[in-house]
Amino acid sequence: MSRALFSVWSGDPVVLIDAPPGAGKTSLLVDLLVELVTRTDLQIIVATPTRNGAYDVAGRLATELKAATVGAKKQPKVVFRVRGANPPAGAFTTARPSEDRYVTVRTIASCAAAKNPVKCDLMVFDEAYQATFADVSAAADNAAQVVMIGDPGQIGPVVTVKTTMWDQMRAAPHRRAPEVFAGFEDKTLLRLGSSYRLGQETVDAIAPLYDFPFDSKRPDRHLTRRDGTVVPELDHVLVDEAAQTADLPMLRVVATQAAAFVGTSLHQTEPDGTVTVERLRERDVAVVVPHNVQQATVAALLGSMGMDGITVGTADSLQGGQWHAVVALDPLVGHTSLSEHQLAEGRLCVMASRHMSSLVWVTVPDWERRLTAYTEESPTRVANGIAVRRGLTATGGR
Amino acid sequence: MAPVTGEHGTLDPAHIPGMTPLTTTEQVARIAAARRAHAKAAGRPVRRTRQRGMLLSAPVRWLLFLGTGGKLMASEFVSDDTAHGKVTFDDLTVPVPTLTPGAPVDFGLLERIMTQAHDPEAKAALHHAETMFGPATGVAAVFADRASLNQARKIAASAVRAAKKAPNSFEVGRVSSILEYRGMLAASGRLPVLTEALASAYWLPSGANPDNVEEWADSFGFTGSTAHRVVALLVAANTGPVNAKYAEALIGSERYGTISACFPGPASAAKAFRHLNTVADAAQALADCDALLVDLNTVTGAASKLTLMQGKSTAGSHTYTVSEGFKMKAGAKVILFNAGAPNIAPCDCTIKEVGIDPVSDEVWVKVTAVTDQAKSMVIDAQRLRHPLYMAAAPYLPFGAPPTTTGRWMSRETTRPQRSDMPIDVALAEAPELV
Repeated sequence: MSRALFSVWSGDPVVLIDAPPGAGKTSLLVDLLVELVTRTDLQIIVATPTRNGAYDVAGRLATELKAATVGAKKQPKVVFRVRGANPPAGAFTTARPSEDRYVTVRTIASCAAAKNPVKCDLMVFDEAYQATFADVSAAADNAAQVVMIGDPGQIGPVVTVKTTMWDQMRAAPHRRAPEVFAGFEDKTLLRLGSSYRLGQETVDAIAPLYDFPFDSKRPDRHLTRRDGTVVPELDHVLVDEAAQTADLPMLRVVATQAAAFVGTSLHQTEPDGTVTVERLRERDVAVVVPHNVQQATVAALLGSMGMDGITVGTADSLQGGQWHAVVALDPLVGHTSLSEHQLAEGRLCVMASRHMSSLVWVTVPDWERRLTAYTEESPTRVANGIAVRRGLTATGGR
Repeated sequence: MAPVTGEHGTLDPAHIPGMTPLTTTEQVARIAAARRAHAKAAGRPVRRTRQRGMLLSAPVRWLLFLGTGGKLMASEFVSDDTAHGKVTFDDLTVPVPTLTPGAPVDFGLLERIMTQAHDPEAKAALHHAETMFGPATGVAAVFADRASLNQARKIAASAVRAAKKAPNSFEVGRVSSILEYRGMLAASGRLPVLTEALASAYWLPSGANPDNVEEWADSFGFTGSTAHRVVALLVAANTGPVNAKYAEALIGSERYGTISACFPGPASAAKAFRHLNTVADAAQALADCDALLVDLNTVTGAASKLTLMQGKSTAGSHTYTVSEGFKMKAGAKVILFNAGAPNIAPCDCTIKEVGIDPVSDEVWVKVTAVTDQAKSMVIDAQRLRHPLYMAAAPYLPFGAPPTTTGRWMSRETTRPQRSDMPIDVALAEAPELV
């Protein structure tokens, strides 16, 4: 954080912060903002790719700012500017520029589309790899400095149109924003080298997807079942090879696995060495699936089981989130002929890295054969896909 | 897997001996094959969409096609008193203008046509088929097929290479940019491709080649002069209503996007890219809520058929079971449309809740009708027992995007002046600065 703060204070126009999953991106962002809001008079806007992301950042920032300014005569405000959404606790919808010290949280799209230019000294982009250069450059058009925090291993922005006209451009509009800004002459590139969310087993499994090394600094943490057996960090379940994408029995397996996590015991070692034990609640569990149709069905299944507090989403919608226990459905399930969607490394990375304690990877027995068939067409992605899945399925198995 | 039932029969993969359930792609291919077989039995193309396939935003002036030897040719429609004959298609009658003989297209002619088609001063407006050859405020140039468009792109690209350092390099580049941008668009009001517009609106009888304009004319049974046949195809592609909201968003974004694409640099590319997405989203929305495509769209999940659950409605919301393949979630903005009364425009709603029936395993949704129009649609559909359908609502920003300064369009950036760095901030970095 100190290096990022130094760069911003030095006036570095572009500061890029790359991080692996669980490296504390949001903590870094919030800590950086607390420092800047309380110690400078910079006008700051935080821009996120999604409305949910804006809500989460605003809530967390409001809490931390309040804690950091206890006893102060006037506390800085967090202004949450997302149309049609109520602000989280502690945040506001407006501020008085002449009287209040404040930081604004918005979506990137709203900044980019604003008819009146969004002026600021500093614009901070959270989950920057999810945004295109077109959107980020438009959003930050009137910002003197930009900071982009993101995970290069995750899913990029969804581009469904042809882009042949710009494919050879250095600053192509559809490219991931930090990749274009990384080519700027006056930029500062920082990297976070440890994951505090993932255990070493998971770090080792997803390492092939990153071009920089990182390790696990996760405190000791694990789940135990009601019979006292330890739930492995990585486990896997095999489903019928013939299962289709929206196969109800297969999705029922996914939902059941998720429901089984509720009520398991979470053992955590605190920094002072004390061990706490608590029951996992529905909100501590998530299901990550590759397709919307699966998301809708699993959510409905869990709802009918009285477990609608379990989060269900596609990899695209849940990236950036973290839960103690996660059930992830391999994108290969339901597909014998593979497309970009099944081979995408970003999707695989997101699905394999949302858990803080345990992951159940739901796949098919012949996953390696399905991938190997595409070795000639896409050698690197197939090799990485195999390496990651071998790591995910090395232990456990049912 | 549920059977797929449409106006042309029922397809149930589970009932085909020895067959494993089909993937979505296979189901779509099967439905398409069945529709084309139906067209063959009918002896002519049958409607694929209720809406028109071509969204002309200006009168048609030029036809570009490949002549013998693959050479690009251009014929001009001349609308004058000598118009010979009329073309009647469905309930439309259009006078046939004179079509000049095809002239080989060199770069000069291509530049003239593109300048007319994308005159920045010309106002974009959605015209109806009746004004297809009317007085011009800008013109449309129709490519007979994708190969013709690609040939035009090659001619322009070649001219760009030749004129790299010439004084007129911008003008030459502009023509190429218009065509390259058109090549990426999902649809176009100024530079449409006739075969693609026809394939959007009709199922061609099986066995015929949908990329061949002659085979389209033959399959419709259009005879007579080339002008007659081409005009008849244009009328066929333009027959049908259009959802003005989405069509105008498409045409407006094509216009602004093309203007942006003509200028060099990443700032212009960024604007053009954003308009490109709007064109694609609008084209998708047009297809998603088309009354004749609901069978296909329910298979892909682009649309979902809603069946009212009795006794579950409240004053502000209604609960429906949804067709298999449903893929939206609570909180999603959706468009609701009545496939039984396609003249009623789709309206906006929100999904409030999603669940699954424990007995039937059917997925249900609770929908909140947010406008009076949506409330009326829900009530009318219930009264008339019309099926309602739901599709994802597109995000369609309209008009020119905000003007930008281009702050981040150069790799060389200016550093803002920051002063008074506190000592603790400076010292924290001291080891790395040494």
